[in-house]
Amino acid sequence: MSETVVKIENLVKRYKDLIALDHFSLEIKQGEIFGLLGPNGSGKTTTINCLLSLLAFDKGTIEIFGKKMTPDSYDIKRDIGIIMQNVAVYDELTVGENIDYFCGLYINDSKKRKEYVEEAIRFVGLEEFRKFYPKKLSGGLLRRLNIACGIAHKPKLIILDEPTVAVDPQSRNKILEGIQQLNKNGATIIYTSHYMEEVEQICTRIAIMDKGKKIAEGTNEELKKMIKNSETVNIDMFMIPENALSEIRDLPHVYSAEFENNVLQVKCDGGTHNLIRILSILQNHELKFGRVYSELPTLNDVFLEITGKALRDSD
Amino acid sequence: MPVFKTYMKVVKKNLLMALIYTGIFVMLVFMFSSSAEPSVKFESVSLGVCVIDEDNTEASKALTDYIGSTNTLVEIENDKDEILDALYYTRADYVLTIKNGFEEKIRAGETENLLTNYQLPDSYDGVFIDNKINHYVSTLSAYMAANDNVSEAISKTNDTLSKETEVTVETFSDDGNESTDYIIKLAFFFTYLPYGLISVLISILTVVLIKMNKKEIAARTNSSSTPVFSQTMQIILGSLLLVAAVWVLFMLVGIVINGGMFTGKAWLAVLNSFVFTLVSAGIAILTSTLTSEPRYVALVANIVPLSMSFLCGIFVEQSLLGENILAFSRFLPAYWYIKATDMLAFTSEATFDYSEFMSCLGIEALFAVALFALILLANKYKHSKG
Repeated sequence: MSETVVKIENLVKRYKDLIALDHFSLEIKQGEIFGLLGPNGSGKTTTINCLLSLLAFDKGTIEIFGKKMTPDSYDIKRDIGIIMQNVAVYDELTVGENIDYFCGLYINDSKKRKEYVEEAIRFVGLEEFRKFYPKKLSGGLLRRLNIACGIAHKPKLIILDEPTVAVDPQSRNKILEGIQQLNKNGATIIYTSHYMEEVEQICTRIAIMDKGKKIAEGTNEELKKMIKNSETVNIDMFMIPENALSEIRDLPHVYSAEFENNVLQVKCDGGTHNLIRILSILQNHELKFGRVYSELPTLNDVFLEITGKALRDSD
Repeated sequence: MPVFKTYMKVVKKNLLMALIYTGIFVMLVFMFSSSAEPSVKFESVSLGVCVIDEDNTEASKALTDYIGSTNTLVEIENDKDEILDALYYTRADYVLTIKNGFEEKIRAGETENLLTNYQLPDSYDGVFIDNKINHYVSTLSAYMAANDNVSEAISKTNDTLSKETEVTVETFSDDGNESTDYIIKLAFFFTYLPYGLISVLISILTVVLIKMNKKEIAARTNSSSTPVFSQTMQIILGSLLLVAAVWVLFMLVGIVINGGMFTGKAWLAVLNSFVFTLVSAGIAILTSTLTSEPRYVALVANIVPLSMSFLCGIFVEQSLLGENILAFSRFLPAYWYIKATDMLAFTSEATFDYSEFMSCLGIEALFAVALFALILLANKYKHSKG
């Protein structure tokens, strides 16, 4: 886990007056599943395009596998697999032909390529569909084909740009399991998404982006430790008198208590037994309540606390 | 060459529309060429002529015999109403009255008031008979003026008029032995060819290029280890083969329509069609650069060739188009193609001039160069937009 696979330093990309990437830096180590999390328009795809030399940038440097990345760095490109947000396959080719074509852009040896194509088909579970044309596949199967086309040549670095957009939960889980399996097989993964749950689930390290800048970086736990909130208690109820609400606000470790839309939401910055203390105040005031649940902080809370807006509000 | 192989697979899967347009083109050519009247064929026809001989002399009888030798003589009563009825009901095409004193007047060298006639107004047949009669009378007058007796003058006149003038029509072929069908069908084929070429090339080349250069696929191929130059060369190779195949296919259709290999000046029409194929390819590639939606291509594949066909003289002859339209269509390549084709087709308006023909080809080639320059500019603009 020590060798640096990707190193981005002070990357700047402008579209006329709009700054898409603002002195963005990043270092990704071998064997990581690195998550790039941010709302739409935060600069994730621009970063990927610059990384692949599909887009020229104004300032900064990009190194992959210790070498400077340029549009002609075909030796570097040989070890990169790319899976874009939109499905990039030919409607005129079957599942097998599509994978063979994209694999053929990297592998000339037809015997070796045939083996690789078969492995990729098995990996994404499309054995029964190898003769199918893409138009005959469901959305989930199409996404799996898209992934197979990107990984068939066995790349050391795999870049997945929002691969689960508009995918049903079953296919999404299959895709996420596949990504973890690819990582176990030795590939370093860069995973961009605006779905925080996915990033939390599979990424070993995460960078949060907003407006072209990296606003936080670390492991899931490290990121959550950066913020004040450690627990959020939610209680469904019809009403709460102001004196009861004040008592809750005065409890130790409670830094916010609000009643809105028949839900009492209490945020705590640490401590233990917060829920028991809150419930005993409600019982003392003989207040009736329904569902009670406690939530640990999410990456959305991290984004919310740093930027003042929710990840999904920013979409 | 994975890109080239895939290019060909994509071509194969998108052939249907191109074949439909080829079918429409072949149908148009056969339909128009088979319904058209032969415009360059001469044929002497037999008309119904009634001769009322009031003179009843050797000369008047000789004129009657002369008319009867190439026409059918019909008998009608010498009554104005009867004569008009006969013309109206087409029992006769022409009614000639040889007036009393016909022979005397010719002998005296007079040529006025010898004959009267009835014929349908603006009738080509009437003009044709008029010419024949005038020719006979003027020849007979000439021999009688030379102091020949009537019998000798009639005999010499008949000898003179029996000699036929050989007429040849210069057309596609230098050898001059081609049939009328050959001329008409080839003229139609090469005139309608731009419609077929542009329609087919837009419906196949444009669609294939749009699919090959689709943003997502281009991103994936451009980030692969196959050099972009190699990918571009493979796409160019595929496109060249496709364009050449379309042109060869149309020429084969031309050979089938012709009923054999082209001969003589028809090869110039083949050269003209080749240059226009380059122009059509330019239009198809430019279309693929300007739109990324295959569904719009069908629209363009109809609008571009149809508008060029109407404006440049493909569906309507250039000689029938207004000055304003022609002034505009000079800025379209099909105008110059049709101008060159008309020269070869020997229409009434255009005669073949080698240097003018080559000038037309040169202008077409300039259009092709301009189109490819526009394609490069459009691509550069697209790349700069990212």
